[in-house]
Amino acid sequence: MKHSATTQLRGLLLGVIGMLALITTRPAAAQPLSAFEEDYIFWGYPAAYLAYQSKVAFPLIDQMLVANPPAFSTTPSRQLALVALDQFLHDPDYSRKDDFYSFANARFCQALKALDQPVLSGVKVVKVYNNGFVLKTLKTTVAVDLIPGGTNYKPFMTDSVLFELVRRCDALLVTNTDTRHANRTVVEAFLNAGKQVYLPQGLWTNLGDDVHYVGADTVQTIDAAAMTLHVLPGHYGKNRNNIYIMDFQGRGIVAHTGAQDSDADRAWLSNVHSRYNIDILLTKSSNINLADMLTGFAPRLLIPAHENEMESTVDKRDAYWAVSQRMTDLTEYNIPSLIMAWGEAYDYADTRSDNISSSANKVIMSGQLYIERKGNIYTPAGIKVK
Amino acid sequence: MRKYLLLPLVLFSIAAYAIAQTTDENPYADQYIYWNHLSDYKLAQASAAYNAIDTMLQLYRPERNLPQLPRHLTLVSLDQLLHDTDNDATQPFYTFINQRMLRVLQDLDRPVTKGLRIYKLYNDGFIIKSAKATVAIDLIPGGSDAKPFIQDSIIYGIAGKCDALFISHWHPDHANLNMAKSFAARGKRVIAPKDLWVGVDPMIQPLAEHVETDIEFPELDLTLHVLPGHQDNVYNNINVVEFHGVGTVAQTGDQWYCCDMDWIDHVHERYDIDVLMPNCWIHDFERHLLGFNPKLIITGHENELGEHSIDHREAYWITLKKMDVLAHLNIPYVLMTWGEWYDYNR
Repeated sequence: MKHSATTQLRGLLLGVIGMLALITTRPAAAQPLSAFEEDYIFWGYPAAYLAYQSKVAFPLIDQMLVANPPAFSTTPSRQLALVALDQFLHDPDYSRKDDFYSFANARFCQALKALDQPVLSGVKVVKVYNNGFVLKTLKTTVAVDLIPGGTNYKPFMTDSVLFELVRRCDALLVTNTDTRHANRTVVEAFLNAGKQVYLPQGLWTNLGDDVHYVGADTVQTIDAAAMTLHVLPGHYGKNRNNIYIMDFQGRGIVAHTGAQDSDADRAWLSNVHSRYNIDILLTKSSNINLADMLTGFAPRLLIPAHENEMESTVDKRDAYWAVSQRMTDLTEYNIPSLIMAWGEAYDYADTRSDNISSSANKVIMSGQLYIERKGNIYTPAGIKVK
Repeated sequence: MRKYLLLPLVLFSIAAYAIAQTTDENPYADQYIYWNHLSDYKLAQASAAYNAIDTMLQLYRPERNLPQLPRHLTLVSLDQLLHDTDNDATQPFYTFINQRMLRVLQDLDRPVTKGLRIYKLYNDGFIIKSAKATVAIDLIPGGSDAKPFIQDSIIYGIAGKCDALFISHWHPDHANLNMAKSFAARGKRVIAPKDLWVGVDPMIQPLAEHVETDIEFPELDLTLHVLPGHQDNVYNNINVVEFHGVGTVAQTGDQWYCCDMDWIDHVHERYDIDVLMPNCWIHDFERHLLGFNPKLIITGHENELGEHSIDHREAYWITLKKMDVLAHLNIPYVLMTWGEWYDYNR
């Protein structure tokens, strides 16, 4: 059989692509890492060496983060933990290392643990992955831009962890259509669990009637999931990006800016503080207009997001050490900032705005928080317990 | 067909764009944003990491056996940096190692009143200080003669505070002629293996024969026992330094030769070794430990940055794993990095 030149060239190209795929997807080591555990000599196996180094390092980093949680005056131990994490997350070959996935899920399980703790006042801020946060108050638990990370075929977050996260939440908000903020698996998991879902206009219009599409050219205000939600019309380039201002009705006001990055919005963004009394600003760490965001929102606390986005090339994985330097340069604005790694939590309580929790009759049963009213027991979300 | 000819052109354009991106000045460097400037990013990150590591090493000093978590992660983090070849011979590395060595230079002025103070330098270099003597073993500046890792003022300053230099074997990661000459110029003896630097200077004294040799240093109140080891077919002096009445240390150089094992099995019957400083990748580690039967192990030779590929740069975490495998021998160890010291008392 004789092939045409075009067919032969196509075959050649496919062959080259196949070879490249084979080369780039070969396992990190020709033999299992356990084979090195007799004498720990890796001579001739540099990939196995690096894989084992990650296997050693990630659990240590995890332990160090647990032992040194987020704090305003950071310690050398926490600084080391974060820069060590930067080093290992800036490995271009991370996706072939099983221990990265174990680490990521260990961190996400820390988020689950944090969410199991009762929140008696203020807002518990839990950072998950990338720009994803879960905000928990006495009355509600809201996820924003929650994604599993990685690819559909190999997500960072296991299905069981995702299921557990969804189970602990009352609602999901998605700021924009970019896959680094919106994930259909997550949205469907929320919908299947009967939770409220708020999406930007135009995102997956075939998800049924239970989805709330929000965002317009002007500010929208919605009563949702035990909070008042203000949707500000932001942009990411030319794309629509919902900026969510979540007013947790006396417990705190949290702004999440999604992927906000548009010069056209700068004028009105500079004035947000005049209409909203923001407690916490969750915003992209690498925003080159970070100072403008700070003056525009004037929050009481800044928590940067989007560090070490693994789907990006290494030069765009914003390191914790770099963010820390950036925050130091912004000290003139007198706004405290808190750098958080995946799975970490911080309890924000502003005594000036928190006045509801003190009037509630709180009851702890089986480690869970409930509210007692007229002899009946309710969940913090107001659901009566038998 | 013609469209496929465009492919190389497109690829070339992409490559040219990428190169242009990486050579352009980074407009956001002052905001620590390094998009399309990966090498600058890695340099800045290495600098941040080395600073954090140096701070932690000062807070969490060498300790016996498995280090506590902060020190453990510090050492692993250092391994990671030193196993990324992009960091080789970069300014953050030079700054780091010189900072570490400067501390040794400064600490050498601190007197030892009891026991031995053991300093770890680059690669397999050690300095052992007693109340009466300060001896160096395999002290080198690292790197190349043209661009040494440790700057002259520091490494020769350190050498100037030592009373003698012992060399295990001729390999440049253990022996440096300029270093030996600096000792000789100060009238200090250098004991070298057979055939190394013959006739260079009367104070540089290679062994006449590669046999077990005792050399007295009465002015330093110590005896050097040279055991005739090998690295394959290279003469490798195992230097057993007996500080009279204080302690005995043994440094094995690059010992790696199966046929020496018969006599190594019996070293402990003739010498009461306090501290053994083996090369961390020594073969048959357990048999060597049984042969020397030391009271303490301080390994050397981790993270040699010379010509070895990263799989033979011997990370600190590997040493910890090896020590764990050998835990059943119940011999304590201290894992040290460059520019650290540990006080040993019997």
